[in-house]
Amino acid sequence: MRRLAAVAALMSLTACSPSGCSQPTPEKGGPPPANGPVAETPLETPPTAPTPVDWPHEAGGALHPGSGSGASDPTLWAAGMRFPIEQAPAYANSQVYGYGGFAAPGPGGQCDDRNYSYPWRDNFCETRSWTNGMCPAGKGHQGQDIRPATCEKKAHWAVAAESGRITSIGSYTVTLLGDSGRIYRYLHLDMAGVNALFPTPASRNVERGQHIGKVSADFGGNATTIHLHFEIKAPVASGGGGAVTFVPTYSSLVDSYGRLLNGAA
Amino acid sequence: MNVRTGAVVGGLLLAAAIAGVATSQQPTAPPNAATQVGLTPSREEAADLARAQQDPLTTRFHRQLEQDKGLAGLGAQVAAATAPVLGPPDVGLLHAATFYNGDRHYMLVIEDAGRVIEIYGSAKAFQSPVAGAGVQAAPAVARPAAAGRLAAARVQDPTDRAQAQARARGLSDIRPEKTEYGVDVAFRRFGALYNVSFICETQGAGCTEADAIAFAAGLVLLNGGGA
Repeated sequence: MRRLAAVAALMSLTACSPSGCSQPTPEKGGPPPANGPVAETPLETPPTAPTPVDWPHEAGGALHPGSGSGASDPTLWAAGMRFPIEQAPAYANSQVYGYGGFAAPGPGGQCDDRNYSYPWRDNFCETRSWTNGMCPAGKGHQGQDIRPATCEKKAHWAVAAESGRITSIGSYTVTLLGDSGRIYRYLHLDMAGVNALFPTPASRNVERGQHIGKVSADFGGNATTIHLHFEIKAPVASGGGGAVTFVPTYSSLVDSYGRLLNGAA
Repeated sequence: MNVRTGAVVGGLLLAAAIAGVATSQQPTAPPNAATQVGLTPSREEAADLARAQQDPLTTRFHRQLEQDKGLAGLGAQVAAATAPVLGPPDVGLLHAATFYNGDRHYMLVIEDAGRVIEIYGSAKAFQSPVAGAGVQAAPAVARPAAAGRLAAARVQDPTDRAQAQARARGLSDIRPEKTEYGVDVAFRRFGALYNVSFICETQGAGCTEADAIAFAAGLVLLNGGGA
């Protein structure tokens, strides 16, 4: 019976959270707690959780000044997705309104250090002629442009945002149909490398985080900067109706990049 | 303490430790994460589905598919789908198609004349917990009566004409979109949400909004509705 009582006491201790049990610690010189004397062995101080790594990033919808009106929708449309570039750092910013772009703020090429630095800026809904029902203007950029760590073609891996199937490989597009039903498109990868990775239909099943190609500037023979254009299309229910539509990517990218920086990709 | 008692105590301690750890480490979904909901057809959409299942042209096409040994694999995959599968009524295109089946969604991919055509359908959708978030409703347009098909043919603009003809065929919430790589058209039919993507080598002929809408309007039901 005494042994069983000891077992019961041990069980109650192990069922407590790592931050400790809610038992009062008596102040020095004060009376012992009502439920018994304090153990003589000093309690170990649990290690403090590491401060989460953060990085400078503007709010969702805060586009580069003069580049249009962004979508301020804070919805996490792809919660839990893997950041689509394998390694940090990566720089979400405008290709058109950045240095070396068509509407650059001043002299400088695409490899300008100012393009390869924080803060991040959203560029979903940036001014474009393409239809986009999620944008205040009804049209705009349908995805997010992201520069890899360095201004080099074919040096940085893009990875599967979730497990699924590569359903099509175009001249500069790769479509990933996620098991969730979300459609992810990756543009401007090194397409020769993508085709070499997925030569047969059977090879096109991918796991979350798997390599799918290297970030480059392939654009079907047209010129563009070195970047990943990443977009998500999903069936969205809204007010009794709904549509398969491009969804704002920025919040999901911020969420996934934060996990990548903190070792929980 | 004998061996048996020791084993019992050890097991109890282990179970308690696991319970304590599990309770303290359960991940919680972020509060603004979209969740999935099933889509329910309206009465009119269910009636449309029943009519499509009995359409003599569709029935004849299904028989043709069943008799084509080269399409046996595709037929079995389509039959197992859990969403109403729309596909082109063209056996030649279906021979070149790849079908991907998922939980209440599918994608049928065809490569044709310099285009990759992706036909996606879903009987579920993502819903935002944020008030006011989500896609704006497409402008409501009354479905024309049978005589409306003739009226639709008289519309001059190719995209508008294609939209009118698509509505006459039962598509609703039609949303064409030019994209960086071609053209998409999203629509609703039989209570499910669809998207047709034309991924084109070059913009222009064969890759216009009118082309994509006309293609979407011509799709037929390939399975029993995926219930």
